[in-house]
Amino acid sequence: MPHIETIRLKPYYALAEPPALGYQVVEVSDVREERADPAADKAPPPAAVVRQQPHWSEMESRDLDVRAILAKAKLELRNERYRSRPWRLERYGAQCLFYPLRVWWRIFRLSFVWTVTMLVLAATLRGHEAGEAWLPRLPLLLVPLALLGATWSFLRQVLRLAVSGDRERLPVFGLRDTGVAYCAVMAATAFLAGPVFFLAAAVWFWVHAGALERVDQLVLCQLWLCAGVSWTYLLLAIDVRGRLLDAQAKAAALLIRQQGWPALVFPLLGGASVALFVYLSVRVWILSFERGFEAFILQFMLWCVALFLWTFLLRWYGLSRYWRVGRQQTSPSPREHPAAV
Amino acid sequence: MMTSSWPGIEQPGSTRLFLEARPRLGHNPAWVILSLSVVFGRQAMKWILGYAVGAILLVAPAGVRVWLRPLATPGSLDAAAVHEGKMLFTHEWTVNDPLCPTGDGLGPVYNATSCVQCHSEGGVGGSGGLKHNVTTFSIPAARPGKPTTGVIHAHATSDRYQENLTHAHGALPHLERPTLKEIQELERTRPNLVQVGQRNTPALFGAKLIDELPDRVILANERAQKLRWRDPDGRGLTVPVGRALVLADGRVGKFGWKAQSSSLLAFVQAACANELGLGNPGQAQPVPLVEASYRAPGLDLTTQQCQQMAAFIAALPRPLKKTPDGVQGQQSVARGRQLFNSIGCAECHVPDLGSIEGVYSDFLLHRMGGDLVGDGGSYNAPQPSPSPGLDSPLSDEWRTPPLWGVADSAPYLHDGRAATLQEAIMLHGGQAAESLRKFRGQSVGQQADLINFLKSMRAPG
Repeated sequence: MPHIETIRLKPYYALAEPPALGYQVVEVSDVREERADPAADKAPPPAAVVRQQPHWSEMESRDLDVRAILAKAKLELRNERYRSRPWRLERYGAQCLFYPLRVWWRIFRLSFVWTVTMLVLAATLRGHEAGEAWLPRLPLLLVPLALLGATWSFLRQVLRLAVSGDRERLPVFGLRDTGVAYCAVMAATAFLAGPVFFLAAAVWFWVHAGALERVDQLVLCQLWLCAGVSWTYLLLAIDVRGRLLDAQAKAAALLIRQQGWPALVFPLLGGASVALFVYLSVRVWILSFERGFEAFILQFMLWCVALFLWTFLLRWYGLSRYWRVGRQQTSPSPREHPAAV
Repeated sequence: MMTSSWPGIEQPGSTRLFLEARPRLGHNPAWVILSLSVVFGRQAMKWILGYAVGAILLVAPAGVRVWLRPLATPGSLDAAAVHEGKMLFTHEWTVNDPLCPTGDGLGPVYNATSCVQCHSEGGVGGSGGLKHNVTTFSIPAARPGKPTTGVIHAHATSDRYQENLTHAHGALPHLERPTLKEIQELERTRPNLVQVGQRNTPALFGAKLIDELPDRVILANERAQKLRWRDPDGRGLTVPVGRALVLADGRVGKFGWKAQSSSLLAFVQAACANELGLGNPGQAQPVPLVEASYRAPGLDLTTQQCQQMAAFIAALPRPLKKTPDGVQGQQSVARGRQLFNSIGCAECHVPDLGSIEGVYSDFLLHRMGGDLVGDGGSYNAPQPSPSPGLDSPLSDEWRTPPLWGVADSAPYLHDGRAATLQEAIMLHGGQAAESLRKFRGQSVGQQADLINFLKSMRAPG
């Protein structure tokens, strides 16, 4: 008797709509028919395997099974959309430069949404005193927070796919994914756990520095960089185990110890680029009050360049870990690789 | 006598007394660390401390920079210089004055014959009335560039040097010594781009404190306003975000209606040249508009004389706060102060700035709206050369005048168009429009409280 895979799903999983045409309908056999071992029939079947007697008819039951299979097939087909033609896995850092080009359309979409949101928020929030009618405008913060979550979710996928050495799937950008909310919380936690301290120090120093001399500008640069780099480190530290509690220096130190130089270099580069990006965005914000369209174009280009850069860096960072694991496995050294922990 | 474990605290041999005198635990860092270790555990505490130390090390350069910043130290005044300065300040200058051995003395064009002639309201060094207003003009250059600005002087040492409005621009009427009313009537008839206005004499009390105010305090206030109102360019028309005018010497302008002078000495030098026609090392005397070829034989004042006059002005006392005697009056002033803060007046008229208490100014340029447009002239001083990215003051931009001594400095606003404090408030616009709206929304009694508060700020004389 040919083996037929049976999928058991609860009745509520049934599709609301009838199956679309074009799918191949597979006949599902009864559970008892697939058991080859007669001894197993004698023993009382485990509760998970034996289907409870449904209160609907046999016909309806089979229909539900078909629908469940179709739902799974549909899901797989949907995921197929994000599976591009396999490419040859990158072997050098420079080859990772092509990776952002594979997701250029998603980067453009994300950049466009960010640009519009930022300029609208800048125009909305301008000219209101901090304490004045703050509460009604508080929900506005949810918009950038959600976008932040979507952005980090996108970049996180880039990193994860690279770590696993994936050369087929591409990261997805969308606000519908459930991970977006968690990614927003991750980004906010990482920001509050360190960068906010440096940012506050930088703002305080800038306000009270008077006419900025070269030394003052250097100090400001240093604080700004600390904010950007610490944010990147903490984000990556949280990402290792997906625990918000890892938003601390200890986890970041462990990250460097376990992953070696890539965990030292890439967050530094990423953090520096984040700091530079925020600084340039503020300059564009100032420009937007007088020349809105130019500011829009500049901000959009800034976002595109930044997302290309971050995608490239994360791909390189993730693949560097993948390459390292591969080298460890082929090397005769019996020592367990820390990246595999 | 028992000595406690806390340094500097000596206790008698009583435990109770010792406990009472023990400082709070939070004052001792060792106790704080110990307590936290108990709460979080030793290992976690190690990491927290490491984290804190790392963060402090990263912030250390900023801290060192702040620590090494030179402090503003109040300068001492030389009594002899002050005495000489007083003599110069009250001196009636004449043509070929004996105090000007190398120059031509008063003139050839001037507005007054002595400093005290204008600065006399509320005592020597105070403000001046409408009759001492100075007429200024601003004409855009034919080609892109700096406009022509200057002063139309009221008097001249000779009739052939006497200036009138026609000398500034051919389309203006032949008016010598125009009054404020005549200038205001000109608004309707003058050519569009030609601006003519007047400046009222400001009081000089407390000028030393303003002179010693570090630039960074003014800049800090400017940046705080930008942050508070999220207006990074400081050019908003409706929110009180001012801008500091950075002059050619890199310093921030603090004196003058357009913040055109960065120091008291520069302000004195500009005033001596423009008002009295006394050329000095800081600024040359003005050439008559009708006699462009006029050349002064030499400087009228030396640097030392200018410094002596500045020393005398610096020695003038600061204005006072005089509260009424009655309880009701005092309560009214207190309510007025509260209202002053709550409706937003204190956004620009900052009560305390740096080390100066009760100055009620931020010394920033604010846009005051279309009703308070004046010529963009800079009092014939050298044009401010702002730092890159900034422009000269706009025609509706004015430096926030300090409100200390405001009760004894009528008339008000840059050209004295407001005879009373109430009128002056009502003429506010632009960035102060929201505060004015709130002021209008108050009851008559509350408005009176605010006026009473302003009237409590008196000249020292």
